[in-house]
Amino acid sequence: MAMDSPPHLAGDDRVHLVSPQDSPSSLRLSTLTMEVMQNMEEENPRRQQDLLSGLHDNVLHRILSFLPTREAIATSMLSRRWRHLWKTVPCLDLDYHGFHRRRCPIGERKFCHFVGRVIAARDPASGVRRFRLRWCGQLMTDIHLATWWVDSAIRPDRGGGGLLRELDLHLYTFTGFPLDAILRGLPCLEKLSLAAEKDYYVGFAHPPQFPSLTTLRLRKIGSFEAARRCPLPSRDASPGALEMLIAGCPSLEDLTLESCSFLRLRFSAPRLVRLAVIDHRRGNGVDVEAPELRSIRYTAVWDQKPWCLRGAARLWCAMVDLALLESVDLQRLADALGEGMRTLRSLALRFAGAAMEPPPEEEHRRVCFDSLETLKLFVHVNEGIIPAVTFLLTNSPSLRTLQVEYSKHGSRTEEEEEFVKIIKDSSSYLDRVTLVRRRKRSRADIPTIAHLS
Amino acid sequence: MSSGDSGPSSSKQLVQQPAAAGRSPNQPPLLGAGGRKVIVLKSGDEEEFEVDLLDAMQSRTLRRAIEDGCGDGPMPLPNLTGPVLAKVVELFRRHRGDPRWADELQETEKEGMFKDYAPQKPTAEVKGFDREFVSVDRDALFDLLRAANFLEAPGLLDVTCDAAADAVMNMTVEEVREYFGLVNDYTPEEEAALRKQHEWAFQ
Repeated sequence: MAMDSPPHLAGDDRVHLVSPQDSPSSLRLSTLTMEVMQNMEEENPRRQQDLLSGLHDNVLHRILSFLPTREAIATSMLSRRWRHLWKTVPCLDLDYHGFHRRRCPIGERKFCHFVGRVIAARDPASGVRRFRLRWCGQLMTDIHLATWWVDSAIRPDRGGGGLLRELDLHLYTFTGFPLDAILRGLPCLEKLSLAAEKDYYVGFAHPPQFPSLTTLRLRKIGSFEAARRCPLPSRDASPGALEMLIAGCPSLEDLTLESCSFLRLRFSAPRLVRLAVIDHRRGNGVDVEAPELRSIRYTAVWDQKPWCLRGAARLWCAMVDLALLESVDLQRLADALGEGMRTLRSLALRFAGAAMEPPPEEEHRRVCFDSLETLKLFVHVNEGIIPAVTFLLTNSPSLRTLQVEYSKHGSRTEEEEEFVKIIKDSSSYLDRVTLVRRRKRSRADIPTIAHLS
Repeated sequence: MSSGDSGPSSSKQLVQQPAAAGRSPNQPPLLGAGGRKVIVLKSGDEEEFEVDLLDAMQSRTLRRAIEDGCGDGPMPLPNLTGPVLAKVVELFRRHRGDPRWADELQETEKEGMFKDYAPQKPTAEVKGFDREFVSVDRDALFDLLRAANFLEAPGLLDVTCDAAADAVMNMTVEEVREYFGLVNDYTPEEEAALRKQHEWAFQ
């Protein structure tokens, strides 16, 4: 409008400076300057007080894209400018848990209605870059509904999907869900997360290809080989499907396998940086060739054939939690780490209720943690623990920080005293030593990789 | 305030400053003391900041200005105050070489302008810095948001927008209006109609 010429605004501003209800002066000034610079047309003179008025719609889009879709829709009530903004936001985040507090039929029906309306109301011309669906409907019709939602959201124009960067699906099961077809033709996908509540065994008629995928997270997605042991295997499973999926992601940097069933997963990932195998219950672990690997987290039962890393010459950080075992051999740990043993800087070991055994005498020279700086131990005091801890301390020449948390469940007081004494004596040269006694063992104590790095 | 007075005139200066004579647009501008390319940014309140050229390239606005040959003298940014610019410069420095922060840099790299530039992933330390960076009060956050908008720096925008979204999460419509300083320009009838229209989302 003509009346809002820059000099007029500047003059007007000084008048406003004295008014008490205003935001700080510098803020208002910069808003005004910005408006002048960008030649924003003033539709409404009152918008001068608005903190967001100088900003482009794409900045508001960006704010909306960080909100769950339901919250984003609520912003249409804010003002006229916001009314239709949510319809073109390139993100859909549909979470049943944010919708209804508990699972109940009424809540589920409401959620179905909600998602249907959202998809119908969105502007079909604006693509989706991030799609997240968390929905725990268990019936076959629920799965068919989910299929329709995903398909019509990520491919509004039938056959599109080229824009999608992030796909996160958390369903009760993928049985009856055409995973094969949904995952086809997503060339820009960078993050993929597939999570099921019930064990699902995956299969692909055509192996999917994700040239730019960097993050892959699977939960309860098992392999055909493991399915044969299961009483009710899914019809979809095909041999080597998990390996196929990983092989189709040449840029993979971050891989998480949570509660997945597989017998022995053997793959090579040239750019893998982080690997987490969490709650691996069934099978023979993983066999990975990953030259770029920096951190590994492994939570499982120690099997006959443990996990092993090959060529991980850049490994920095390892967290190993073998909760249910009777005894753990450090020799095996060293074998599993492979070349990573020499470069490892931070190591956390948790053996609840298990003993540790030092390697046999003749192997002592081979097992050496040359670069280890931080060692965290979560152990249970028993006879085997003292030689193992002493061995770890003497074979880690660069060690600076030691943190021990122990429980003395069932062991005698003398044993505990001896353990404490040994730790104190053998670690007096370290920069920092922490020794904590835990009364109760709980899984919540397990540190995450974030704490370690 | 100086930023307000000098605002309109010097902003035009930035936009209209002609390319320096005898310089090709792709030629690297200044060389700092250690042989690194640096440019000088001048805030609205006359504070000057020396910025590595690679860091400045994270902003599309600065990038355009540099390519137009404005990088020779101090570059006036009248609508950014000293403290805001200091924070932004520090963030750019931390995110040096982060590929997600400078999506267009790859192209320039091929032209040979930034041969010493190696993209790298943000570390945990940088992510911690980002969190610290936006844990400020509302007004400071919006200063940063406006700076990000003006500088067109995708990474800075992401960090600040994420913080703004976090702040308004779980707020009522009234609270969000107050937080953003929005004026409700709906009539009561319109608002009621809209609420009814979106009933399926709010129940």
